[in-house]
Amino acid sequence: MDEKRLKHFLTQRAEQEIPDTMDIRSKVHDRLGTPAPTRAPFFSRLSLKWAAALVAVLIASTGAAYALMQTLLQPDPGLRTVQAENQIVQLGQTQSLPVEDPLTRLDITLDYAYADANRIAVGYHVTGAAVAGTGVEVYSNQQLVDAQARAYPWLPTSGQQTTQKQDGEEETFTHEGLTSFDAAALPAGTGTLDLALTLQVAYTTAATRADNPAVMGFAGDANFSFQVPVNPGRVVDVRQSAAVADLAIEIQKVVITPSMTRVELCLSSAAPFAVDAWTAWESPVTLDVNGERVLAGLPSGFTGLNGAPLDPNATCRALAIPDALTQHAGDWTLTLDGFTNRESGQSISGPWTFTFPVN
Amino acid sequence: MNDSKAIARLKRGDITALDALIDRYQVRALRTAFLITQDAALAEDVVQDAFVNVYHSIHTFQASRPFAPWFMRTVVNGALRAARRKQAQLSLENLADDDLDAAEFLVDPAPGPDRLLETAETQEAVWDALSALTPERRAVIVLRFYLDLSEGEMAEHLNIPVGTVKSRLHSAKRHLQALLASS
Repeated sequence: MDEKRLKHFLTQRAEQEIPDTMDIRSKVHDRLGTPAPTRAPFFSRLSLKWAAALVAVLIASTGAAYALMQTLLQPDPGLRTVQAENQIVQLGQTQSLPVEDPLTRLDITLDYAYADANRIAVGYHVTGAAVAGTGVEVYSNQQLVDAQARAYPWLPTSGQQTTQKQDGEEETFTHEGLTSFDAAALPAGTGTLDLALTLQVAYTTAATRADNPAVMGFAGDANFSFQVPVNPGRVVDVRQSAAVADLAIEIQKVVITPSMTRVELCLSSAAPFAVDAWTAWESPVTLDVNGERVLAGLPSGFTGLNGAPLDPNATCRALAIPDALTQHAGDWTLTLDGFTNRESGQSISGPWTFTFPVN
Repeated sequence: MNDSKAIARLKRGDITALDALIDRYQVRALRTAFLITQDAALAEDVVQDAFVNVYHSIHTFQASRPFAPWFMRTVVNGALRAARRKQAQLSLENLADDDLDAAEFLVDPAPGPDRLLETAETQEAVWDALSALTPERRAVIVLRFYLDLSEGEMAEHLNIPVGTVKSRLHSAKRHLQALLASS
């Protein structure tokens, strides 16, 4: 077979249909719910990690900061519990950034922080003012490092949203953000963390969006330093195996913290999981404590160990259960009902059941 | 910005780094997905999905590995899934390759596909022949003759053994020859 001619045909056909100038950047950003960074000369290009889990802009008739934060917390039962139990550290640190037209004021406040052996969370808000009708939408990006220069990766349970309010000749706006970082790499026994948070703030206006939806103005960075105690949670040494068909699972330990539960386990083989979409495996988890049902089919997903990325071929990994289970001491019967890949639809039948005491 | 720098920045949450990767790989990815799905709109969906997946799962990517094969593997498999779905939706399969006369595969038809490519009345004949292949066979043709991948690289992209790649490639070429000969 003449490979050159076939290659020529395929190349020619592909070039006819997909020109060199084709650009899907803005469509990808639309899918991510994040405005594409600007290339316009009047605006700085941004270095922003737009929280993909929840980005919303609301038109509020009243000040609705509390409602906003409840919306952000809604999909996160672990943090809801932490807040309800008042385990967060109120910080209330505010910085003002210099502004120029059309903004007339921009203040950034770090409201609170929380840390345990599974995650670090920060809550913040941005308030500001502009001429009425400007239609300001605010976006923020967060970077967190500790005194040892350890950077904490962002967890996808974060969110941010903006409300606007027209008041006479002035428009005021409030932007709320809640960001979680993976704390699995924290050394055991860490009592208090010295942290430095950088919040990068950007904005769009109705005029810039009409002109080019991808254009943003970069307002500046706010830098905060603070301390937060680390809740070590409870580490349960399990070392128990269960096997179904050819797949054995050994739970090494369970780290139970107020904001989530991390199950560290080893598989007898990673091969069934090392598929194209290896990050998309989910296992519904069922938990009975002292014979009473606590969780039924709660989806949980794999992460890497010690804050590292998940390796598709790693036999040892962690299963993150996004719920607060610290109140449930007793005899645990933890069941991994099976595994389903939400992208490929593949499944691995279980269940694997483990029984161990949590005191 | 090279791939390593872009990935490091993306892992730190800098979304502008995603744009660097999109700029570098989008056209190659779109063309590959288009050749497998034979549908430009579907190809665009596949490649958008692949970049969204990069953003969401970049923390799972090992920086010591090259980005391009990892990313293109996602694109190829996404295109295959899309092509399978599309094929399943087609009610008429008059050119289904499985319906071809078995005798056509017993001997290499003459003239060979190289000459047929020259003499085909229009390129549409070749395109139609590719359309009549199963998505899996079309994918190996695209990987081998458009992306210039080795059989080992194809095996990695498709997550199948090298032996299966050899067999599938041989089968795909034979089917293509037969389809062109009968067109």
